[in-house]
Amino acid sequence: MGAIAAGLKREICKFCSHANMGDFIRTTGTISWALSCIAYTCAVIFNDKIPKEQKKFLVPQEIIDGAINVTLYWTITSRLKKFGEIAVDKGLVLPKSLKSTFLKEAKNASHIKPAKVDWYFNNSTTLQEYLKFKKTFSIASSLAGSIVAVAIVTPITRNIVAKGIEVFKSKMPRKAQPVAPLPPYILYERKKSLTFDKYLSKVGTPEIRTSYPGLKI
Amino acid sequence: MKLPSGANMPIFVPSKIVTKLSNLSGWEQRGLTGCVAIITQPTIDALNPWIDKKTRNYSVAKTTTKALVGMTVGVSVRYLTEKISKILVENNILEIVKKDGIREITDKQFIKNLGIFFGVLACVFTNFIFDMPMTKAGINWCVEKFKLDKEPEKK
Repeated sequence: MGAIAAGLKREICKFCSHANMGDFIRTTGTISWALSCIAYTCAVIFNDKIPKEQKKFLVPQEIIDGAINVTLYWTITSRLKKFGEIAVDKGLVLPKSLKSTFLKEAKNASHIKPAKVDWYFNNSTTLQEYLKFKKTFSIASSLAGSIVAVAIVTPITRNIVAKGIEVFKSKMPRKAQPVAPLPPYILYERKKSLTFDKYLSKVGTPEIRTSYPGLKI
Repeated sequence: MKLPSGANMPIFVPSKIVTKLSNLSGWEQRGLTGCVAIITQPTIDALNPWIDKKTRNYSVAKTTTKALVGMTVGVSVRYLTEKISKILVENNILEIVKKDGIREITDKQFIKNLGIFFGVLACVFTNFIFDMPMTKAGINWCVEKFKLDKEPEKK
């Protein structure tokens, strides 16, 4: 038992000693959203104050919300994290503090085409600053991705998908409702225009007549 | 300013803001996401053109309650787990695992990571203990306060 606890403790410490915060935000965030989706769906299902008619929309909306939330959270966070890394690597985004160094070096090197933007930062201080920025920008992009996914993309997508499902459902052929046999007095009303012989052959026996004293033959 | 052929002028962003964003702890991240979600999510639901007015009202009430409850519980839980993680690290109960003998992160960052991790684990329970009943109570309050069960008046 002690060995299991020690192993678990070590694994938790190892996971949390992970240097890549961007990945950390993505993984823990995805698990977190999956768990809360289950809870919120239950909150709608077991709420007696929400009418059945509204639940028909709200429960699928909640399930779709969860599925989309988890998928989009993972995808957008990963993409934006990658975008953050590439943007700094390609020199599309740089820290303001390195602006003067960059412009000065770029002026001197206008005749050449450096393969990588870190070429401009040729002393250890500026290079360190550039590398630090590259790391922090990737984490910040990851966080921005998570906000965009949760607050904007997911609610729009879930409404579109919920509507799509509703349209799909309405186009599905409806199940034929079982028809209850008509009670004899209704049959009588329907058949009273018939002649007695025909009526008896359709509706039945003398017992029926005694059951319905209003029946005139 | 002429740059080498094929190169674009970069967008220069203040590194202070980027550093601040990247250093946010778990509860701060949850709070930031929650604040944006409280504004955007109900607005998006209120503008949903594909449902009737009554369902839309329910949808907005549900989304607003969910965002508020989710943020409150999420921030509180993560704040507490970070405090607990700090105590565990300070008392050497949990320690950084070095990779090839190199310490990859600082103690502060390690505490933040532990806080986020334990926060996620705690959510397994808090989602059902707090989020679910609070969301239900919040929706019911909205139904009664704004009379959502009544048919909306047609203009």
